[in-house]
Amino acid sequence: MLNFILQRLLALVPLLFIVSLLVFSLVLIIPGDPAYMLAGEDATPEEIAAIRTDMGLDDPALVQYARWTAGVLRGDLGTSLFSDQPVLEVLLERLPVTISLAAAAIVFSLLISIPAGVIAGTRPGSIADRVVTLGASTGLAIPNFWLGLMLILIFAIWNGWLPATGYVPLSENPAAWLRHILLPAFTLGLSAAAILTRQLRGAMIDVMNQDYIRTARAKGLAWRFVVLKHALKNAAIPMVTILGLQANYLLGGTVIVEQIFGMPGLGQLAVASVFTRDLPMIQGVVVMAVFVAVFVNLLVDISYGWFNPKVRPQ
Amino acid sequence: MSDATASEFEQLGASVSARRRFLRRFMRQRTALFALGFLVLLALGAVFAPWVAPYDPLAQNLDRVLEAPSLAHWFGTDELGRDVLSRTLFAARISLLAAFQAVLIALVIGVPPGLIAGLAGGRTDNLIMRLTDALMSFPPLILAVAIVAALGPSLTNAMIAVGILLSPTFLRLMRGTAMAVAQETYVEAARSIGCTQSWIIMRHILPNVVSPLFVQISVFAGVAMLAEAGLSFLGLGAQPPDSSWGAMVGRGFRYISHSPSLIVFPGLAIAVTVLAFYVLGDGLRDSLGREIRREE
Repeated sequence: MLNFILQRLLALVPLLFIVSLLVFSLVLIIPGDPAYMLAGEDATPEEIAAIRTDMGLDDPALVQYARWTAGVLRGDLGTSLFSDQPVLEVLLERLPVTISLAAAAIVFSLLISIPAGVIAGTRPGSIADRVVTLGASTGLAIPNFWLGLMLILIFAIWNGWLPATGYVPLSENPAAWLRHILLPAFTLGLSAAAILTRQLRGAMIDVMNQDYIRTARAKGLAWRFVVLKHALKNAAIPMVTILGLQANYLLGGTVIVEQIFGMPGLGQLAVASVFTRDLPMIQGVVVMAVFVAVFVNLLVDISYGWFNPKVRPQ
Repeated sequence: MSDATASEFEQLGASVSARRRFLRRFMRQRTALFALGFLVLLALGAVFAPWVAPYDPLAQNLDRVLEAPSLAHWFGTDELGRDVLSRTLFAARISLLAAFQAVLIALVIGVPPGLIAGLAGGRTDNLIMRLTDALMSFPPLILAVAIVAALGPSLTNAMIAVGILLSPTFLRLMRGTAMAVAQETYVEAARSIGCTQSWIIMRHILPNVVSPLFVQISVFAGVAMLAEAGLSFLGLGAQPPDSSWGAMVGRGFRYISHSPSLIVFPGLAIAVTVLAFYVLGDGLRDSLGREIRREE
């Protein structure tokens, strides 16, 4: 198992190398003079010169890349052009917000998709199945920002049941955290729930036609027991893959959801940094997001090895 | 020479009947046909918006701001007293064009390297696939925001970002098809009689990939529309005076408690149109599914 984990870690090296090239090249695709662009229209020549030296823009691209990567490896993601704070410090402050939002969204999506997928997958063609299938398609088509606004309208503005914006850390006040995270987590998790439901429905239909299910039924096991113990357990394995893929989309989705619900996370920081032209900060957000996404996918890979010894190297 | 013509003719005949079978199956998909009809109507409404829209979308009427839906203004009016229905119709132009633009960019970026990777194999393939994997390891919207940050906020830049994000799927589709077709005996035969690589691509590989490509294009038109709406909502896409549905929702956000209709209607327009693209894609897939399964 340790060998397997080491092998997966080694495979990440070339991936992270290419990712670092792509993130760095964001500076290179800025049209015109980057220092001028980043300083803004009414910057003094001194300010432009300061940015130029600060980011080392006069050096050849290769030297810039080497310096930037060396910094990233040491945990130095540069300094914000806007607030002069170290980028990493700001990111670490905001990371827990984004992680707790994404985690709550995953919990939501599982709470919706497992019952819906099981109900639809064990009775294909029934009215319940059609309702679930249509619901899943609709869930994929609804823009998450619109869903978020509708939820704010219904639950916060019209009825005042839940707060519309803000965030309270879990460690500070769990009840307040839950009240603040419910609407954003539902908004973020709905499309993942739709995808997981479709996946689970298909897998359940396949599994329910297998011989061992017929055997289990034939020997008189209760329907509920057969579905939950035999079918769901096997149908759930592909869900882990989909969940790993969804981690990327959920992290991406936080950009919009945090903006709507006024949550001080990484996504909100990314959008704010576009308007302040804070490129080091944006690069930092991207590096951090890729880091989290790659880490989650590594965990998914390892969990495969755990569940299924066949994928482990001999 | 006559042999080549005969086989060409035969192939043409086969592809025509395959297309006819596909069409016949597609005509039986009622929901997909309905979705297609809706999209055609929407496109016509967008093209003929100046004639269809009841008001000038830019005409302000400061005596009638933030009105609820009424007979005079079916979707209500916005903060400058402009007719929301007319604005929604005109915004359809931007939203549809943007989705089209993003898918086109994704095709241009994804298809050629996919073909090269599939046909060249070896190191070239390895390098291209590594790049693709790296691109896919980014959380999509965060990468789009970063690209827009570097290029500057505008609808075209936002759609370049979305196109880059969508391109890996086209790349993989092309690579897979190219690899599979290159193994076929008829391609080997074509190669042995001295057919050029470009002839093989045009005559053998592209016809094989057209149908799955159309399914993907339809689904991705929906995905691109959602992405454009999200970016415009954040203020990173369509810039005033242009307005897409996403940008309309973004502006309406400020008046959410007073005039919910400002966000309800453009949001519904996005959801219904995206759903139509998905349903059309599902219908297309089901119409060619059996054929592909038989070939396997």
